[in-house]
Amino acid sequence: MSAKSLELLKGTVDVLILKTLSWNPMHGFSISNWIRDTTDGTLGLEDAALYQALHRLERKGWIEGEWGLSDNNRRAKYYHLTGKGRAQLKAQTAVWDRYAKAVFTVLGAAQP
Amino acid sequence: MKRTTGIRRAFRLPLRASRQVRREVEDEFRFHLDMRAAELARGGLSPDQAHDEARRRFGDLQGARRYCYQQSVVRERGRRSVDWLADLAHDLRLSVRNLRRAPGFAIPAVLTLAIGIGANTLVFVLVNSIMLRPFPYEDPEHLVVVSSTDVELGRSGPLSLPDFYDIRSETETLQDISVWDWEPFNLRGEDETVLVPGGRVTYSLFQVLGVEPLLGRLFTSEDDRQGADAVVILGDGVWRNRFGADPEVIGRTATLDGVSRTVIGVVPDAAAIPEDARIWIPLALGREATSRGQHWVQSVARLKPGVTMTKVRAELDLIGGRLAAEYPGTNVGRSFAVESIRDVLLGTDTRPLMLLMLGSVGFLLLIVCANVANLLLVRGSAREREVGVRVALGATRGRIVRLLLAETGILAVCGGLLGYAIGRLGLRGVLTMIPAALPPWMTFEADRRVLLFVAGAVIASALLAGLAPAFQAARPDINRVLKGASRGASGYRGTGRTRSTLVAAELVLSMVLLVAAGLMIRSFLSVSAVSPGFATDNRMMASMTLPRSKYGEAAAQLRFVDDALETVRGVPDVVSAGIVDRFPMRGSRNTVSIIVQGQNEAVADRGPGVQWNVSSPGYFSASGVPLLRGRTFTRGDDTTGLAVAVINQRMAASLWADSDPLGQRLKLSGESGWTEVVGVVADIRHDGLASEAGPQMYRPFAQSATTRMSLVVHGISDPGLLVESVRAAIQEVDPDVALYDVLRLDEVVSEATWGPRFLAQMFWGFAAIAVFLATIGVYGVVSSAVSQRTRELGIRVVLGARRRNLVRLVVRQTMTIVISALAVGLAIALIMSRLLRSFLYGVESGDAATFGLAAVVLGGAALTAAYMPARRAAQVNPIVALREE
Repeated sequence: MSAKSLELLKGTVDVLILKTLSWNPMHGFSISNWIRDTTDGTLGLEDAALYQALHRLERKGWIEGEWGLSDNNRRAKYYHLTGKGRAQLKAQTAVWDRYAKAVFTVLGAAQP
Repeated sequence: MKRTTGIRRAFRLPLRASRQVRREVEDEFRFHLDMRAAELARGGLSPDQAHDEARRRFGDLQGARRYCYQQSVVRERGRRSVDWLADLAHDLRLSVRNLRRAPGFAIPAVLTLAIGIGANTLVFVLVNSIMLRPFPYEDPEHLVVVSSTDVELGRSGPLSLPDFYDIRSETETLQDISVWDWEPFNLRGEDETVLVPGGRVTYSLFQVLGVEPLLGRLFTSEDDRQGADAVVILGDGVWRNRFGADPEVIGRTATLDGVSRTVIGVVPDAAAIPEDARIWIPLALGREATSRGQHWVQSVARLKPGVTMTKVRAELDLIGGRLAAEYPGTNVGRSFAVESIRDVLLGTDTRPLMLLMLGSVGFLLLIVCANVANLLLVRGSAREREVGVRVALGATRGRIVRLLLAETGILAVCGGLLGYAIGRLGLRGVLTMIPAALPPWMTFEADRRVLLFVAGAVIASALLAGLAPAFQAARPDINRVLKGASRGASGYRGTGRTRSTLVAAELVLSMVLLVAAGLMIRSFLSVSAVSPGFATDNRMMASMTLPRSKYGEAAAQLRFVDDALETVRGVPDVVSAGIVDRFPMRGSRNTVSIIVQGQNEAVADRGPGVQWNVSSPGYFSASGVPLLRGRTFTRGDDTTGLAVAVINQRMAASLWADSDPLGQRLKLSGESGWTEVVGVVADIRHDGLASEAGPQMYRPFAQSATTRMSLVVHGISDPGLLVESVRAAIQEVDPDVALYDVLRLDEVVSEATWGPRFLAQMFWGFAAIAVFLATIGVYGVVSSAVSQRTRELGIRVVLGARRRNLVRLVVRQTMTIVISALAVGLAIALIMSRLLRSFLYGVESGDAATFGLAAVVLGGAALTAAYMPARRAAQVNPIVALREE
């Protein structure tokens, strides 16, 4: 991960993963690459941290893991969103939305 | 990336031990690292460098591993119970779908299981109701029956009243003893008089049994005296049907045989002794035969707490000895016997019989499971491909076994439900085969124990039939399966030997059952072939009991008999008619001790015991009993003439072997005058076809009248047509006398042989099903073995083999197994048939003819079953066969 990348706040990883999985099931490697590609490497997400998050989310029941065959016929663990996970994604996105709007409002405010 | 679909999705993360969880985490990390290394290698790094870089980029590998493992373990633990249920539900759903797609497999399997479980249900309900249910008496383990035994003849029977009194006053081991006699009463109701079977009992009978009255009170010693007010206790059936379940019934009057009696209590019918009695009056001794030599009352006694049967027997031996010394005329050579009430009510044979039937039906279930296992093995081979894919995707063997067992479980449950219904239906049929009146407390509904048993049978069948095939199928040759090898000939590899062994086991078990059935059938045929002593063509009987109130005097009784016989003889189509006090093979007899002139007149000698009967003129000809010497009774044999008797062949042979019995004299102990023998008739098997006739003597009715009797009528043709006319004739003589036990004499004989017939039918049923299943088993195994060898057989044909020789080849190979199985079966049957000894009549347990016939039957069935598929295979077109695989 590049030195320019930003440290991620705890809790951010979770919502990123949930969003990544909101379309199709993916395995951990794909998730890592997708996030890297989508943010152009801005977000420094260490693989170790990613996998820890994946397993934590799986324990919470927000995502579920399933073993399947990858493109190159290797055994890989694919994760997908559960119903609970989808609800979490919606809720956390809303929170982020409000949080970001609030921060931006302050940052963009003119001197009083 | 691929979306997981279809069959892969069907296997979510299953339950695994923590080792498995650890391995999964490892695999996941390894995949990632390999992918990253490959990516880096494509970017120009060497493989080693790529791997190192990938590892470096990952971050804290150890820490992540530890953390992920912990999380997974927690997740698994949380999932455990939910997953288990979900897995089960999933397995069941999948199994149901699979089974519905394969009715050719599922339906025979379910039917086979239904037969096995149905048979077991039937037998167990019988066992449950007869053996496992407690009696309706308080503490029945302490209830016994005391009977009087003729040591020489080895027969036990009722007590005499004086003996009973002595036992009652002297015993220290029995808390109380009470006696009873069965008697039918004419109960007069509002509009009609009905015949109600009842009992005359000493006052403490219900107390001894521990029965509590539903209403009112029980008898006391005050009621059981001569001259006491006439009282009666009703059974609850009579109370409901005749007294409208009146809660104020106590104090009302009931008129029995013309005597008004006050109702003092109501007791439950379920606890009735005698078993079919529904109304009771006190014995109230008086004009009854109180001679010590007349044995006519049955007893029930309760042991004192802590007393054993041995103690009671010892005490009764002492009392018996004392009585023999004091009353040698009646009691020498007699002793008292004690049996538990369980043995008396159920018979000592019942328990071993029930166990035998349970064993047989257990064998049947084993055969059923073997057949179903065979079906499963074949099906397992057919599903190799499916199982192989599951294994490749990571399903553990245990998981697959569970899935296959779920399928077997569903089959077993369906079989169990169907089988239960079949069993209940079969039970109804079986119960109609038992003509004996069953005790009122013996009901055959399904209680908790029965349901538990059926559930157990279902589970046992599922495991027995399903475990081995499941384990077999869960270990397929994956390479072969995934390469798409055709099912064809290789499909049944590995199961051939198992299936043959199973079928061989089925044949062994079937042999045992077939031998048992053969022995039972032969016993029944032997018993049926025995002549009862009386004729059965176109003859009928009917019993009557004269109401004591009207017919207290012998003269009145005799007048009735004379009028009745005259009227009945006047009925068109009647050839002859006669009367006897107790008809043979109806379960009751009287025994007396006699003194023979010139043989044992000295008081010290005790006279032999003979069966005692009273009959009217015409009885012997009406019942078709041949007269061998001398004459039968005539009108002249009345109270004014000489006391006469007719004896049977056996009595003549045992008492007067070397001399002419005619003219010999004898008398009953206690009588003053002698009786002369005037005739000898053939033996009658009074106690049943299997018991040889003992010494029997007959007195003319006119000289020894009684109120209880049976009428015998010989008609020109079918006696069934006579019944109404006879009934009308008796009504004409006295409308207060009702007929009961109206039967044709051939029905009397067939009722008496119901035991052996029942056994023969039951065992034959079991054996037939077993042979049928085993035959199907043989057919199935040969069929599949032959289809494996289509190619080989095709080659043989091409090489010039005659089709007939091919058939012989296949059949011979099969019959080798069959014959060894039959041999083993015969050996086992030889050992086990000894268990049947006490039920056999006229045939040995090792009877060669029966064994031989059984071997021929089973061998023939197996041969046919092997021949058919062999023949079909031999018709194979060699070109088609060679193209296979």
